[in-house]
Amino acid sequence: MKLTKSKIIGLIALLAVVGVILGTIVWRQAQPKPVEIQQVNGYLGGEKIGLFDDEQFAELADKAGLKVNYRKAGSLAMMDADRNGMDYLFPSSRAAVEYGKAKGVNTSNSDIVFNSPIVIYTHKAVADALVGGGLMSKDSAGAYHMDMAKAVDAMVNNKSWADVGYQNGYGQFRIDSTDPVKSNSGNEYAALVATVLNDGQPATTDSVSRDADKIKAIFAKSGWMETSSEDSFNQFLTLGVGSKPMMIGYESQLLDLAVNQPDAFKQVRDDVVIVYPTPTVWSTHTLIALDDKGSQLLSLLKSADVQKLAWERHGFRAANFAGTDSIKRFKVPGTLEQVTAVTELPNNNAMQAIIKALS
Amino acid sequence: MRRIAASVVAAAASLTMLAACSMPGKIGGGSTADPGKTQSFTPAKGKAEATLSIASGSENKEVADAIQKAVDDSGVAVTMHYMGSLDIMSALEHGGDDYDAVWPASSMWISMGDTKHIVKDATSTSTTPIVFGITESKAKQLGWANADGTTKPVKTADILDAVSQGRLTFSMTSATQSNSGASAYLAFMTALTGRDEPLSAADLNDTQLTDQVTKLLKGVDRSSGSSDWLKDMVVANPNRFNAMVNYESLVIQANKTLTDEGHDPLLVVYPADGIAVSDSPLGYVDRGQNLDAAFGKFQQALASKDAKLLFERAGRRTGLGGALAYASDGQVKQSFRADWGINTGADALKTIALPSASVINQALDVYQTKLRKPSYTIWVVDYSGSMSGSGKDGVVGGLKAALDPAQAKQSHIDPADGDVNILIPFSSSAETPTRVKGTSTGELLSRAENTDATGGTNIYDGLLSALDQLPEDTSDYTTAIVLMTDGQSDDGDKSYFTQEYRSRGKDVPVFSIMFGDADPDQLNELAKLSNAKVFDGRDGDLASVFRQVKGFN
Repeated sequence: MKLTKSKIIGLIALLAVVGVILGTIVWRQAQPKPVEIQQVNGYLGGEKIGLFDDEQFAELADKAGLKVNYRKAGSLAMMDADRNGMDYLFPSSRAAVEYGKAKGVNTSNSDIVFNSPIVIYTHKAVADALVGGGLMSKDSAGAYHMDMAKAVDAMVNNKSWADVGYQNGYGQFRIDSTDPVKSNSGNEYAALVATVLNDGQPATTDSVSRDADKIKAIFAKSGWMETSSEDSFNQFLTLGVGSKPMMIGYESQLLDLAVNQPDAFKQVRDDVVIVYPTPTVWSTHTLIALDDKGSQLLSLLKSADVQKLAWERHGFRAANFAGTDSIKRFKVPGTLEQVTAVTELPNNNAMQAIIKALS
Repeated sequence: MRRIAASVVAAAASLTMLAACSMPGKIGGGSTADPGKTQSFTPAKGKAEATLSIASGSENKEVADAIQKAVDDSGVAVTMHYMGSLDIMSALEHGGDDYDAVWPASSMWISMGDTKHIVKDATSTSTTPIVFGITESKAKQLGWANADGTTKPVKTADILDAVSQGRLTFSMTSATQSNSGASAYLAFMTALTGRDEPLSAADLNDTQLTDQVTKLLKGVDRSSGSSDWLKDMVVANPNRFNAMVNYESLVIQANKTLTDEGHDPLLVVYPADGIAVSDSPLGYVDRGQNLDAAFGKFQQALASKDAKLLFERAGRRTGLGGALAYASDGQVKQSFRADWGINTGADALKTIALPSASVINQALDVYQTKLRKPSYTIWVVDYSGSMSGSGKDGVVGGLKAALDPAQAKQSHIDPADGDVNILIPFSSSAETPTRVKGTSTGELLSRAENTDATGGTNIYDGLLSALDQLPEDTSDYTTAIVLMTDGQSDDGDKSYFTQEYRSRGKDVPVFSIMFGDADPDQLNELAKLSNAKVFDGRDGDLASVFRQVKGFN
């Protein structure tokens, strides 16, 4: 049989294909066996769901041999929840960790993973009106600041929205938050109010017992309170200014929206305003590992890759209070590179007293 | 011709039942007479990768197009189980029952029910305010509408005045069974405080305020446990009703049908001093069933631009801040019509600040036991021979679930002081009635227990006897006749009953509970005659059906 040129080419091609297949098999066998993926289960504060649901996070977790599951729970509520089968708790503050410790949670293996300042979200019309009324100011860079001493004073004295400069507001001036007994952002806001009432010194059990009625009256203005910061922020966006004129949230929430829901952000970009309270408090997102799988998740979260991802795509600052690069990347108006006007949270006894007063 | 139509309905209904039977889980499925309880959606192309079972508010029947689109795009099938918001809340309290997701009309029910932290990724699908839909002639007569159909802002106090003067009646769902009723009730009360603040526990003890709310609720001329059914009822008898309190989206749906049939539309009036908005959140129920990926796909498809456009065409708003996202779309314009009184400006919605969860619970309790219009219910119950044994046990258990104060309280249907309940046992003919007033229902319940089941079935004689028991002025009460039967009835007295029903002009609904071998045609005919509804008790859980029926008045 005479081999024509085309047949030779065909034969070579066939051999090449066979070679590739054999080679692949050999190469596959030479690869290390894939790590067995372990499921990690735990309770997660709602504002971090965006990160945990992120496909890039899932990929990084996969490389580390983890599949991360979660149940949404308020930072304080998770300390009382059934921990059976859970590998981690991921609340949003040191205060929640201390609260858990007092409730018998083993917090020995825990570490700060992210920080995010507590901020106030409002609408442009409200913000500008309150700048006019003197409770708020707008700095030269365009960032809004709320004078918390004045704001708390206005609430204690039952000032109306009109009194503080916002003529279209209904009823009393108030800042809505999540349920301070169950969820961290509301809890930290309560701590901030209690601290302001103590002339700016971190609240103590004595000051809380002295100011309990005022603190209760301020929270009673809000009525319905969500138990999750995520739900609260979503309702703020969905229902508009009439429903929640101002609400407490995390800085990360609007940054996350800008990156992950650009269409939605475009709709609210000219209306929703981020306001930094003076002073504010840090929400210190702390992971409590309950077992070895929880520890593996903690290492994963502390890795440079996840820290970068958490900042760039979800707006969480690192343990050192800064992002991995400039906050300008988010193109959200009125954000601060560095948050300097910060107060310490009250100690655990004082925090417990606040929770008790509001329960 | 009529016969053909009826058999088509029956065939369609039995398909629904088959679909329901093939579903996993215990959920009391659709049926020949009650096909509105479940609805299945499968992808147009290919096999579904998974099926999600969703506990949903009845108002979502109206966004079927958007659901179908999301099912097609995601490849995930969906079975919707329609129920009241309180049922969704209690399903969550029980650990989610067999549901994979919940889709109530308001986030409030998830927050209050999710004590076990099983709901994940709850996100608003759309919004719609709870409004008054008032017949064009009535709205103009009250001075609330302009000649072009646009409406004026009306204060809740003005609505109260119109009701007190007997110039306005309206239908509204039960505040303890349905989100639209609960939201409207909370908004009325909040607005009437005049304070622009959330209700407090002290408000609920303020008799001046609660008296005003009682007066306003006196205007309720028909109640219901379901917003969607309330709309159907108004559409079925357009000359009978002045107005309904319902979702803006359901007023839009009603108007499409009404105007197609040559009737006047309902004009939307937004209470100017307090309104509640439904945010319709869809959330995954994590029972460890590993359907979260399928849920994520469905939820994402439901949030696509195409699906949102279908929501808006059906009368829901999908923009942030309660606005429309696709206001320029032709079909969206055909839904949000200014000449139906619809105002899409954000300033039309003065949203109330909801009270705290504990105040909401107390407020619902006060509604059920003190403020609502008293109910007048005539229970016409089959004691024919075939009911002997398990049938009778089921009925007695059902009556207890609805009328025993301790049991009824669990479902927020507790009897209150002004309520009247009458039991008329029947077999071949009606027996003497037993009438009880207020919360002392023991005599009625022991009569139910001690009556023997024997003889034939003649529902019409039982119903004739019920007509004689109706109150002088039915508008003093939310009045209903509830018929419970397990067999086909002799129909010798049918035309006499029909004639009597019409000539007395009381217009009272005859709800039926179908059981055993009851004839759906006979019961549907009664439902049609009286603009009521047939409930299916054939899946065995009569107690839950009795509770549901009680929620309708």
